[in-house]
Amino acid sequence: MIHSFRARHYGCLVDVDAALTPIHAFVGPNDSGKSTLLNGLRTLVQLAGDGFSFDGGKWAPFEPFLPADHPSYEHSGTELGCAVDGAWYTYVSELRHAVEQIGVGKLGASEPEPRSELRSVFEPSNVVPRGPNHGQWDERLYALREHLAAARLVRFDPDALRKPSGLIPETERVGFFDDRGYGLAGVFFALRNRDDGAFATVVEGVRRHFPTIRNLRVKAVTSSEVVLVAELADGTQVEAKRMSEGLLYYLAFAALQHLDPVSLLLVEEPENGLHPARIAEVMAILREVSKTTQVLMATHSPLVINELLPEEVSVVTRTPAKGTQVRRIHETPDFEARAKVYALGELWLAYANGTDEAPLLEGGPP
Amino acid sequence: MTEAKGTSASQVLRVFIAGEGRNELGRRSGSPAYQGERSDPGVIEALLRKVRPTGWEVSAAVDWKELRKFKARTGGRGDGANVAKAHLRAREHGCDVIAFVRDRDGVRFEPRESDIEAAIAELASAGAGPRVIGGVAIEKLESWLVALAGVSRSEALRRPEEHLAKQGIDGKDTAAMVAHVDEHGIHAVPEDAASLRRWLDRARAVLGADDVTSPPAP
Repeated sequence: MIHSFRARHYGCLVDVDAALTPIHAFVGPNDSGKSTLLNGLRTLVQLAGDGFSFDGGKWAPFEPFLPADHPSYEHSGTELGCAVDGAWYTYVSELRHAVEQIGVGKLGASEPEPRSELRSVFEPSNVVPRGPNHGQWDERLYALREHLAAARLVRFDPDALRKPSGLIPETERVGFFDDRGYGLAGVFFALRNRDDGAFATVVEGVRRHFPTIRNLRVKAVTSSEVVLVAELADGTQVEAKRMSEGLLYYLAFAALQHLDPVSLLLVEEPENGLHPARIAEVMAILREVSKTTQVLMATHSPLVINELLPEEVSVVTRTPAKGTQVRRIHETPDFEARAKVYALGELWLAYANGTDEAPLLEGGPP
Repeated sequence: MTEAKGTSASQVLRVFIAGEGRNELGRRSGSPAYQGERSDPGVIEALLRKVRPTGWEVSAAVDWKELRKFKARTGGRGDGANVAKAHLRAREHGCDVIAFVRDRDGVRFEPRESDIEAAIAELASAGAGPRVIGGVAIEKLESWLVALAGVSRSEALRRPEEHLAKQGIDGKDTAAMVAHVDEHGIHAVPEDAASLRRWLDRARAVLGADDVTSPPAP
């Protein structure tokens, strides 16, 4: 698990420290930097998984020993701190762009994609120099690198969830093809074929929460594409293109806990499209996922926050002078007294109106 | 007249009021941006003036519905929590007293009274922050207005608004309601108007009024 994260000169993040927990939410006004924080974390793990350094005329994998003022992570006993920096981001963004270009339809491949065609985008001058401990890798550091090797960011989009998708070969990792959830039908096809009860579990949940639905099917529409179909109690079959957004979002979140594990799950606004009472169920799914995968999210929903503990919520604000700042909600003034009478989401919204966060961050009446 | 409890002659108590809307709060109802410029009081302020005309001022207010509630399936519950939220809001405004009233709205919401009474008792036992004048109006604020005119069994009336309408008081006419309070005062409240009498007793205890005109026990 990543216990702390630091970003410098990364998008709107001038110099930000964030303390993290196994499941953690960033709340705050629009344009405060919540999504940039998530992107920074994704950049970090992509750097760990796909990163390069240039040494002796050849490309080498991610090197944790970096200069002290640009640490990729700091390992102190049991806690892991990570950081991204704009100096890296210049080339990491190039890398990510390239990876995204070739990644569509191939995410989750068991073997890494060949990188040879990508290397031309890197110049030695862009590469982060190695630190003084060059070459001193031990098993612990390999384990850390392994831990940071992958992240999954999701910002589900119903249009992407509806699309027919290709199949996921059994030899490949089960996951979505992009951030928006494209590939949902293929994911369910793979879950059904795995025959480990995952598909049946999801169907059971769907029946419980959507009583008009009797079953889920995955139907082939071409020799290589499948779509999701909901079978209603009266036998009517509803293809994904006509499913409600709430059902699509539910299916996507329900699938998350059965995908091949990643080190970090980054979720943009898990509340989107969901009935308020259903948000608690999605949060229960994410909490279950957090037992094995760190879950970090950006949200505007007090109902999402209501499902979290005080230490699991950070308030993100942004000012022209300081840029983005992150502060744990339980470190705000008078928190103890306020938390006695407000549920956590109520507390946030009672003292923060999206423009003036001062009553929350500095105390005083709303 | 005696001084308000815990105050000196020169100290003006700051009172925070909470209620369901304009009839209870007067021009202080609603978001500050939409509050009127005039100092039109509501029924809570009018009642407090009858208990103690001076030595206090209304400093801030909140509509009951503005107290944040974001939990699914809590309809008709949570009023005790709202009392605590309003009390915290009063403390954050630096107020010495919070005065509120909440309609019970019928037997269907009977737990509302016990929830609110439990919350008041808890705040009293904690002994910190603003002192509390509050409680439920059985069944609603209009029942209290009927009782002020000396009408018995006001709490059992199904539609107290009809009694008020006969006296020319429309349900949305806050000024007429306040005038009704001013006209009748708090001298004629029947003993069976238990929720109003309890509220007035709390107001006397907190504001320290000598209230020599309290109605004698029948």
